Amino acid sequence: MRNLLAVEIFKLIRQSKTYYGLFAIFFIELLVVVAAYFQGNDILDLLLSNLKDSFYFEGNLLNGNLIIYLLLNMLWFHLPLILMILVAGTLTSEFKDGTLQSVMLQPISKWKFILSKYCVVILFTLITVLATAITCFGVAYFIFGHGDLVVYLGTLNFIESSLAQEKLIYAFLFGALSMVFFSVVSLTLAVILRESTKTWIVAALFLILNNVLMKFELNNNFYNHWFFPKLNNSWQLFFYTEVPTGLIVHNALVLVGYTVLFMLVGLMLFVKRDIG
Amino acid sequence: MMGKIKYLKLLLVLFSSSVVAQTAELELSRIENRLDSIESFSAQLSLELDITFIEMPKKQAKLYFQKGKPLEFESSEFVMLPKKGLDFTMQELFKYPYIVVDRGHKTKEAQTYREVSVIPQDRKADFAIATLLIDAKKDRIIQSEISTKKHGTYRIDMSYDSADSALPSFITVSFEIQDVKLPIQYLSKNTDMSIDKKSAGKEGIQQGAIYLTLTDYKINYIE
Repeated sequence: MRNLLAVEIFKLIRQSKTYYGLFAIFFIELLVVVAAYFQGNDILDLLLSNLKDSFYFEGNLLNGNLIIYLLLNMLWFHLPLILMILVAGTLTSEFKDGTLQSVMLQPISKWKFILSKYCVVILFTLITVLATAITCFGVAYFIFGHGDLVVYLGTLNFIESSLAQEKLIYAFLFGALSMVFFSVVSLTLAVILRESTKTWIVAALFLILNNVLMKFELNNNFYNHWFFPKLNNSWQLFFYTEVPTGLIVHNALVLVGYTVLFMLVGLMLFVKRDIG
Repeated sequence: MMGKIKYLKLLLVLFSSSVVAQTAELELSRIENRLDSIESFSAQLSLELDITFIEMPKKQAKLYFQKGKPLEFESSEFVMLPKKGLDFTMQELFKYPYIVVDRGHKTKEAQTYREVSVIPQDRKADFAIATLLIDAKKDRIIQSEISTKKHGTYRIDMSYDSADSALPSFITVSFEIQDVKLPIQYLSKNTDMSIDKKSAGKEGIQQGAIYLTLTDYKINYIE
């Protein structure tokens, strides 16, 4: 198993598309920072316009924390999209090139092979989110500095700089869980569909549907607390004044459950179906 | 004879009401002079907001006042300071000539104070009428309710930490404020819709309050 993991990591490192994907993620991140800067000014003007008649404002709200928060809002669509394409490619390319048949000729069990793929994909996703977070914090704080964060969650919540930074870190941690979920789904789709283009289309459709359903409002307990599109948005809960820790833990556990479920489906299908 | 008595009674009533009005004017004038004698001051300000649609932690700022100039603030963090209610020396109130109307006495927190209305005589004044509760014994204002021409009515309640303080140490500013209205969701994707629905029904004018605590006063009086 250890050798399999090493081989999978080696394959991921050697393939050029990994670096194209990572470059795309950081390029998007940079674009989003620029967009967030301009959008940030407009949003602050809109949010505070009603208050300008009654209050003087001292201090800067367009700071690194706001930029990271805006970035998180936008990033959670672009990042899984690229991750899903990259992850699906790790298996579909093996189907396409016929390397999978060669590997399967070796005395390797199928479940160990696919499990090592899942493990490496999860590791890669976590490293990518970590790198994104580091660059995100680095760029935002270097250019825009620190300061209080304002978010609108039914009420205008002003969060002190150090607490905002802490909440943003937690948001990234929860975001990492979501990204792992999407990566695992993508690999499972690759197991089912085997072909690159089909897998990418279905993966993109899955992501778009997830985003649409996340915004769709339904007064239903299962839909709001057990259905995965809603769970992926749980990182926002950290920005309430009174953080609903119980709800966050619940959502995280359910999301991990979905991830394991998708992984088991992928494992089972890969083991049962013929290669070739 | 009866006609003379009636005439005397009328004179007495007119005289006594004129004396009372003069007393109120004198008392207010003493307060005005006392506040006017402040050349500058600085203080440490602690601010708490009580507005339904704003969640903000307690904020700290340093406050600087120089007579004839707008207040200046200094803070290492983001602070929202009310435009109304920070006129501790009542510069705006006494800026133009005014008429004082005595409204008798009023009890607040077991203390009796004189209630007066201040009506500016100049159209340039920002406010239409201000009703003050004044502590004539200690020459200071306890409460003011000011009806502005453009920004509605706001009330200021002041308490002082010592008997001889000219400036308040604790202030509550109560006012009406327009709720934040957003055409679409900005800066967030709400996860708990019950919160969104609640806030959606509360659009419009809301009652708000700001609690200010002032410490470390450094006051310079005109010599």
